[in-house]
Amino acid sequence: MSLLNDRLDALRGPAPAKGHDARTLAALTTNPGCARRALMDAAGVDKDAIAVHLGKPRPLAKSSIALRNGAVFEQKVKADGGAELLRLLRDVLGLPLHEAAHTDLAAVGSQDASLPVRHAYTRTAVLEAARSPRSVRTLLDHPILQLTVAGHPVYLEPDVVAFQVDGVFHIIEIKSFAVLDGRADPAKVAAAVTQAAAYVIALRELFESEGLDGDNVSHDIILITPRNFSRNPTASIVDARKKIAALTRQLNRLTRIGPLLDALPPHTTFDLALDRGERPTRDAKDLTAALQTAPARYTPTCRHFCDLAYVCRSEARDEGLIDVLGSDIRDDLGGVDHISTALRLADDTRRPAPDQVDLAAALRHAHAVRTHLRESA
Amino acid sequence: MSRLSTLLRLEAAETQTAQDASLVSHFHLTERPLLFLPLNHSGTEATPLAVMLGTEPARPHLLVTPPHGRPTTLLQELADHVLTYIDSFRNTERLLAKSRKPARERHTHAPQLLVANRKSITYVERLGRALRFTEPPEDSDPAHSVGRLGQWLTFFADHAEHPGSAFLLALTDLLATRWITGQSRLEDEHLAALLAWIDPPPGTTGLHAALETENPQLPGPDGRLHRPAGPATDPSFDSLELDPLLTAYDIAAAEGNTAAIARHTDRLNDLLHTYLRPTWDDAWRALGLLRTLPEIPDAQRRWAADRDRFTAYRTYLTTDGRPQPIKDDAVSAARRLARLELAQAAFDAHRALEDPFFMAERRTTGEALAGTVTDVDARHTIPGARGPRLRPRLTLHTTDPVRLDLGHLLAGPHNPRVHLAVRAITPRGQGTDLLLEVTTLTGTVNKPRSDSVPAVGDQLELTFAPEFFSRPAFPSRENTPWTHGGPQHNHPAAALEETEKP
Repeated sequence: MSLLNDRLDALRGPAPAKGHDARTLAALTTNPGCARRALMDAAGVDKDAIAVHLGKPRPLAKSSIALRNGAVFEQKVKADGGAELLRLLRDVLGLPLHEAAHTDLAAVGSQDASLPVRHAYTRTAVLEAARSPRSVRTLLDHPILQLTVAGHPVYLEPDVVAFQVDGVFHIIEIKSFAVLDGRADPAKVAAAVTQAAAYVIALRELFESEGLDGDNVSHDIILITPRNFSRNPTASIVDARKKIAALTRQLNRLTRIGPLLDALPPHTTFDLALDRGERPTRDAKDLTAALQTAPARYTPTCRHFCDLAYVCRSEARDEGLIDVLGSDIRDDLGGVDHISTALRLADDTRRPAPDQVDLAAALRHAHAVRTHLRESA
Repeated sequence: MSRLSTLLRLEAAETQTAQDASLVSHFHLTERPLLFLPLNHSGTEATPLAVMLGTEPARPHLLVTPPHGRPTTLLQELADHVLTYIDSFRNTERLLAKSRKPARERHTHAPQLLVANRKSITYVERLGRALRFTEPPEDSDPAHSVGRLGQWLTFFADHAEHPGSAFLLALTDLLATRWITGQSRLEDEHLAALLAWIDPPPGTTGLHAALETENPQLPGPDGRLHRPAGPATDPSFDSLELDPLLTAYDIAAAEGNTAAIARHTDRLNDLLHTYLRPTWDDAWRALGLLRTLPEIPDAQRRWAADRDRFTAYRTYLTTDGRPQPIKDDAVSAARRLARLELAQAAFDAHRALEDPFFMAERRTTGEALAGTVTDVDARHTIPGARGPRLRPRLTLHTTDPVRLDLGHLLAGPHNPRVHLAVRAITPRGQGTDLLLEVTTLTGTVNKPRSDSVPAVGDQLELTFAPEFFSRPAFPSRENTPWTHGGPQHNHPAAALEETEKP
């Protein structure tokens, strides 16, 4: 394990590792086959910094105004030891609660607030609460959880609360998108539930590693969002069983990081070689060459969850891959990878491979229809 | 999506040049549409930061929410603009009673809202929902209130869901029907990038022009920044320009420095004008390109139906005027769903009959076919109650893939009112022989109409006849059992749904 960590550290360079977040988790479920992203996320590489250094647009740049509005909402919900949060849980979920112990795990009381230290602190607090003989009500704020991704433990840094009542833990997810007339943007809800599902799995892992019952973590997650057009919070219970099962399956199927690392040439690194002023000094061509040793699997939707989307897009375009045209086109042309291959099959200047015969016939038909259309126009 | 459009996308990608798709317009574009470009305040729901709108390219109206203020003034101004625009359509025509439709009045012209992209259509819907329950202040005219604006925005957004309606259209959709680019559909949603593909500056390819345009940090070929057209602002704009300005405004406000407050307010207006103006110009350029296309006859027919709906809704507003309910009741929802499905099928079938490109697309999806008439039996009859009825038959040979069933009714652009029923499907050689029976406009045994029957050697293109999609029967509201929503609920807006014919 330490050998694997050493190799991942070498891949990243001396910069501190980044934890998994909502976007990388979404990437895990939507594009699990991308080896480049899997390696970089396992090593905690700052992908955004790489995109900036290579002069590509940053698809995930966040609006400071939106971030502030989100933070204000979160603070409002969590203010006064979670008073508002408790009110919501009481009113909406009908829990007979009067008070709960609020523990902020971001304040670890030590100089070293690194992820491993905060994780150890979270672990102690969770286990203490779980093993306490009294049925305590506890709100754990800013926990750091650990999840095994591709055979390698990664940290999750949720801005989320784990809430324990009568021995069962619930994951509470605070999001600033509105729930309008009881409905919200399905894509945003799906992302939030995926994220929460990862926390449920991580928390269960922790329980089970200590010989406790993983079912003490509820599969129902509690979503706190603004209600309609106001900034007043509302709580909804979402059954995350499907997502938890799907994510568990994805995690089990992921290619292990070891073989992906083995496939890289020796001494490969994505280090930006920051100088004292934190400026990257890595030669851009050299970095691009290093990136290309780890195969990517680009789709246009990558921009929703991966900082490298534009880097991979220009690469895919240079190679003439059908992927740049979108997954609908790619699925329509299953079995062919390159734009030029598909076009040569269509104009009948290329002999199809045995598994391309049907597709080639359909493409030739489309080509004939197009020719007829142009001629009669 | 069809294999034909896939092929054209591949060609566009390889040649770096947008490819021609449909060469006709499927929607009526009015003489005086209202271009509506909203920008939302980041991190909030349906709270406009600014709106640029107007009916003349040279005269954009910019409405801006003051720094950290509520959009109250903006919304009232927006209501004034939009409602005055809607109110300017007053002329009506008298239509005589015809078959099942009673005589009625109909507006000769109607409002049309154009937005940059599909997300802006969703925004119109959300803004409509946010505003339509707003109570008008006392002693004010409800016909000019923010609540009425919300009702109209909801009206537009509801119709944007209705296939073929032209009340609210996204320019990126219209452009993407006319041209196919060598990028993904997701990227086609960016108006400036889409236009760059379609109409690149001289000396560059569509691909390169689009790449330059889409980077919000770099000026486009015209030397201006083409930001994402909204309704969400570009995050880097928020962080680097808007946020610092708001902070400076806060400091000035805390110090009570009125000169600085005024200056920062002016700068905010300038900033948003600079943000929106390139999109404004892009939108009018897009409209100019689209206006060169000839309209198909069905676009006029559907626009006439839209004008009927506009008239009906105006009448409703003056007689009752309650806002649309948050949720449809079960009966209205079922009717609406059935109507949308039918409208989609009829819209598609009409488009295929009136647009050669759509017909060609359908040939690659198996919903249409082209072939040669190889045999004709013009005297074929079937037994009828009062003697034999003339049902001429013909054989059509096609090499297109056939995905039809016996009994399907087909029609072709050569004469859309002549319907042909599929009677037999037989593989022959490399293709298929279809036995077709003419079922309409046949004439009688004694007086056959020969113009309805194709001749041997004719080339035909056929697809499903639009009339193949008929409206399912719904029980009247009184006869709907309570288990299905029942008669007890009776919102007047639901009555509009019932009078609606597809």
